[in-house]
Amino acid sequence: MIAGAFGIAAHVLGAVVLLTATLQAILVLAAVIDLRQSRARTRYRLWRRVMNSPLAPKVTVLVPAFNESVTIRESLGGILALTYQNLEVVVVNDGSTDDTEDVIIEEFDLVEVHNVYQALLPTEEIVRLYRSRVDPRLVVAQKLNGGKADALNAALNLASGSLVCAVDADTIITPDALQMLVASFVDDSSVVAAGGSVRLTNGGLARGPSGLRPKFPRQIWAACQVVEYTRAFLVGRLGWNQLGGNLIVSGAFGVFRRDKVIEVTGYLHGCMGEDMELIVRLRRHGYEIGEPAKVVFNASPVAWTEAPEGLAELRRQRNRWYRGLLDVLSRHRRMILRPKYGSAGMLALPYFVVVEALAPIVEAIGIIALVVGVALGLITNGQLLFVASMYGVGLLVSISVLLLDDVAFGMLTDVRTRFRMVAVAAIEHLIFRPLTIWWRLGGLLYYVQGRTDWGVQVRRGFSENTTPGSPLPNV
Amino acid sequence: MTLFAIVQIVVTTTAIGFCVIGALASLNRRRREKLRTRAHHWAATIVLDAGPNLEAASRDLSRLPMPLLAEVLQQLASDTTGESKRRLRVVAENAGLNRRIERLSRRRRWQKRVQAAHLLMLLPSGAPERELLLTDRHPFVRARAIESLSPSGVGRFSSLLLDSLGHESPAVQTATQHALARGGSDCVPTIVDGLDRSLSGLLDPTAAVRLMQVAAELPDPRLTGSLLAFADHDDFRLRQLTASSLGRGIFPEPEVHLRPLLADPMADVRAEAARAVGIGRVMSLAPALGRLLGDPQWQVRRDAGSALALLGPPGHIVLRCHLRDDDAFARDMAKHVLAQVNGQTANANTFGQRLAA
Repeated sequence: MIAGAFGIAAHVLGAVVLLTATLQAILVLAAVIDLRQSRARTRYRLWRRVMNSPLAPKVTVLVPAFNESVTIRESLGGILALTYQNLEVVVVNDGSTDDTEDVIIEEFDLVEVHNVYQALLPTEEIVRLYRSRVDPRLVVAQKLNGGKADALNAALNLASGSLVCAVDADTIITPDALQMLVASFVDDSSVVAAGGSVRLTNGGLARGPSGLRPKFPRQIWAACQVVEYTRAFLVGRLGWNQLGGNLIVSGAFGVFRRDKVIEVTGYLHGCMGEDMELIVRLRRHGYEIGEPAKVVFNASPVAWTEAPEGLAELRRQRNRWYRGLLDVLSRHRRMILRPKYGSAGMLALPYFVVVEALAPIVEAIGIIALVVGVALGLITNGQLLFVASMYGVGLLVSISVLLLDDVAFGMLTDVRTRFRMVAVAAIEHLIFRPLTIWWRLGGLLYYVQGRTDWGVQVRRGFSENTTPGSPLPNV
Repeated sequence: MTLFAIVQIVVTTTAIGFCVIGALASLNRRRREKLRTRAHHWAATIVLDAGPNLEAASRDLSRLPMPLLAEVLQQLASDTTGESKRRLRVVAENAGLNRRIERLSRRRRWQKRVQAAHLLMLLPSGAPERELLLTDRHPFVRARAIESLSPSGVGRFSSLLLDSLGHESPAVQTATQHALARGGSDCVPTIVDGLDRSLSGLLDPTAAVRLMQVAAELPDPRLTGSLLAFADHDDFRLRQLTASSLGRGIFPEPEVHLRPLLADPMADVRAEAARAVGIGRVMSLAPALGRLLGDPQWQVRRDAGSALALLGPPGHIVLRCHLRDDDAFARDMAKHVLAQVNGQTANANTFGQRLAA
């Protein structure tokens, strides 16, 4: 009887892994189709010349900063070095407890100006407002702490561009990335948000034949995240592009229509996954007013960021992400399986509920049952091989995504790195993924307890290849 | 066991495939990159007419794979004119690229037609494919074709371009604006015609704003009459653009037109007018700018302050007068701007002293 129960648990675990892998494989196919179809659009679009002219729409880059003194100099240097002509940068220092404000004042020669702006969105008080003498495009606001969403809303109040670009303070955008993303809005007036790829710089950057490329990190958890991010961006974003259900634009790098964001009252306070929540709300609003809002993902523009390498930091991040996901799904549960909400309600949200929210819980229970079952000798070799086979299918999807990324974007140059990537993909599947599932369970516990704390992320700064104020060359 | 074995085999094969295909793709990329560098060298020889090498370069270039040849010629042709462009067209003609463009421009799929639009500048100016693509039903193709127009081509298709400004697709609108801006003085008659049409209500208001955005950037005296007609227009965006153009130095008496705009009910117009005073160095309006230092809107105060700094000594005198202003905003703004001006002077002195030493 007990052995039977453990056997069923092993089969359920295998089935869940297979289900996840199958759905991801479908999204990989969709991503391949999207890459093929968007080739003409990407290759022959107007951004090369038109987007470099002052007639291109004005873009305000919103940079919320909290204790970012280590990376803010390089990050702002990179943003101000963007080749986009019609640019404004609004930094909101969200009550940092370190010397972020002093670092920016010193680096960009800030001068305090009158604290007058149109408060279209309610936020915590802005105590000081600065302009730069070095670069008139830079506006810096010192605000009482209110969280990332509040800082972004404050930045939206100060912005004057018709488009806003949300960038994390620890992110560097490649110089022509903004042109590529803005082109999506010029191509199609129903686009309300566009996101680009986020790649990890933990291993540093190296110069390749076609510009800068990230080195594959030596640190194992960072390497696992490279595989994970590649899969997430190609499967989770590009695949959904084709199926019309894109629900995420990374908070680290995304462009939005400012009027539409203000129309839906900006970023939501007290929500852990504020970037996903905003996109879901924008799409929901679009469907409700009868003007479906498009959210597009463009894999070519790249933003570089660092991923946490310590397990404690990673645990806090994943715990927060999972709480954010549950929060968003709970807030917008009315959209799920409602034809009124189109592909977002009928496809994307159910996928997130099943694959991202529920499957990890079932998988966690299955893993515990499997470990206990093996320890007690209640799992047969056949059942163990079945589970191993299903994990193999998952690994197959991961390697296929790496291949697709390599062929489409050519970020890798040598065979050794490719072999290492395959090995890391296996480690990611067998060790890192179960760990993230464990952390998600913690997130579930926190969510049930109603905890909304963010934890602390330690910044290390970018690689030594990049120096303050010196932008990244064109990629 | 069988299932596990099958999965193992498939995973291993995919992993090896990833390494092998990836490596081949890398090699291919490197090879293409080398070929592209050489192709650019040959194309540069043709553009610069480097004597005896010209014929060999033309021959080598014609032998390139068609997609690479198209890419290289397109990149150069969009930035060249006159004899250089003619030579590039000859290469395109000899390599059979023109026939390819003609074929592509009549294909059913827009993804093919857009390739023809992309290479449009390689065709002779009278080619019928030009009009075909400029009126294409797909906005993406149409926008790309407009973007490929040369300044002289803009003049030839002026009427079509004015219609395109009111097209529903923002891509077409932006491409048209950019084409007109690139056309410079060649496009002025087209712009004047468009502005006159919008005053008569024959052009829709959004198109008029887009046209004004282009006109405001062009320093051409032929535009003055049409631009001034919008100084008291109901649409504040058009007044703002008129203010912007008044700083270009093409108007005979800018202060006459800028004075009412400095008192405009819309803050954006006042700010733009203030900027125009600074850029155009309209000294007689320094006192009016001083009054704007106490404007309720911060951006107007900022632009007035910056404009006074740009005016030089007359502006600095006005700023000093406002250091004891009753209005706190005006006082602070004057202080900020003067501090900035003095800082720059101090830096200049230090630099000068260092240079002298």
